[in-house]
Amino acid sequence: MMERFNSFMERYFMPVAGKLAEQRHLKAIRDGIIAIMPLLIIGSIFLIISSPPVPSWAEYMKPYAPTLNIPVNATFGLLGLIAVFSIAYNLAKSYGMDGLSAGVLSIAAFFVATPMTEEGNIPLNLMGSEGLFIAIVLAIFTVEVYRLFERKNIIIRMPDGVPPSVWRAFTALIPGAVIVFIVWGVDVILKTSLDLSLHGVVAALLREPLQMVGGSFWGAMVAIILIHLLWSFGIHGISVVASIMAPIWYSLTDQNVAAHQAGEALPHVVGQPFMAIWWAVGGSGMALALTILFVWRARSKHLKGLGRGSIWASMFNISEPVIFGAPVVMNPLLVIPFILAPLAVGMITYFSMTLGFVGKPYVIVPWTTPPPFSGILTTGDWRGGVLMMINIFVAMAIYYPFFRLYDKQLLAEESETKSDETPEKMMKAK
Amino acid sequence: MKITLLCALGMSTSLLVERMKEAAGKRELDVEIEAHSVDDIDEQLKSADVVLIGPQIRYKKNELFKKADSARVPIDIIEMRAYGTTDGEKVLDQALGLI
Repeated sequence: MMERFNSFMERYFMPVAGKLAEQRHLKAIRDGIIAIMPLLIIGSIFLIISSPPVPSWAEYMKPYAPTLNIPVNATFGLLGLIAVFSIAYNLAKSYGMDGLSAGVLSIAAFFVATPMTEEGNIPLNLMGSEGLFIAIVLAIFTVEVYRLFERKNIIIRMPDGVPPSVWRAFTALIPGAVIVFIVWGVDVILKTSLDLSLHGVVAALLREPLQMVGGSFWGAMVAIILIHLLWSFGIHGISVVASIMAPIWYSLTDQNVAAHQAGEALPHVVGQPFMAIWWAVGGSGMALALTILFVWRARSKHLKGLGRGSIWASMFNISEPVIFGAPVVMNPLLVIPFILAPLAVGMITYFSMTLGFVGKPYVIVPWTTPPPFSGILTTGDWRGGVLMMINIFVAMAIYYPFFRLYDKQLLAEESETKSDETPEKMMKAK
Repeated sequence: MKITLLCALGMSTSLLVERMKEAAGKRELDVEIEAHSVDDIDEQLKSADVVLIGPQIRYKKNELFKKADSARVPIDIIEMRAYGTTDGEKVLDQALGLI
């Protein structure tokens, strides 16, 4: 049955995942946001320093918060502004166009669409996650218009021998003027006729509904199931799912950062740290729990050896050796707990955070940060580390019966063959 | 000669690279073996003699194989079991078999 299901997936599902991964605009958005990741981690370092996970230390740091917030505002706070450039840059590059001109133009478009404050200043709140979705829209709009002009050859051509830096500036001139004019025109019409702004319209039509779905409990659970179903067929689930969901997760987290800085209650549980760290201790599927069982309890040579060989990778949340080595992939016995464990952990984490037992996550750490540090750092709460340890035990309990059955199977096969060729034999048996 | 392994971030294949280097060392082969993120494929195709991709990103096969073909670099998906057991010998054989 598994065989047939698998060939069904290979035939119908794989091309969809492939299309999704190759889709130009999604790819540009993803790459554009990945480029911002280092900045967010740098900002997170300052967030952690300004509010350490122990309450008494946090109290001590309080007077320094305004100073420590400067780098936070310059990283998280500029998420939208940086995204418009880096998305436009990546999209233009994918068309083989000049990324720099497209990026520069998109920044202009972004500011044309941004209403200034009454004192005539740049509104910082619209530069961060609030501006992320309009940044995506304008980056794509800019590049597509620019491309249209290039394709129709409506650009100012320079004679040969003019240095590239000069002609580059001129090729962008006509499309750039048109882009700025259109964005400005639409914004003015919205303002005068309906008293709306482009920021407001994109927020209402795109940001709010997407965040409502993506940030909800059910949205997170569906994402977790999908990610692990994909992994069950040996496909990098998080890569596929994040290529659509990443902007939503980042902007939810940035809202938590803003609330944290303002000293308000954090609005969201679901966000980047929840989706990248919390149900993925040891890698997707809470693989650390399974790896610990291999090392601790396995009697078959195969699982014991695999556990010993991959426990260190798993400590740093790399799960491929276990997923492909055990294997979990296309192994009905292990696929079941592989989906159930992260789901249970996701639920426990969600409700612990919603009910206030543990702080909500707002800090972004590299995904290779080992437990329980990742739990403590993402929430800025030492209880986050405790919850993460509990999660590992829960996952071990879920894996245990399935692991025992599988281990027994392997042990029987090993004693039958009494040779080192067990893995190959097993492959044929499947 | 250079063998490049690609996976989502170049992280999990880097474990395999170490084993492949050991295997190559045993056979006294003069090969360079590197792990990279799949996003670096364009760059890697310029210098690699053969490219292997991790099975978890095989859903990108079409795009990657097309690129490799036009760069005339042999490419294949690492066999799943060998990948899981980080079997350096086997994957090295797979890479050498493509050239």
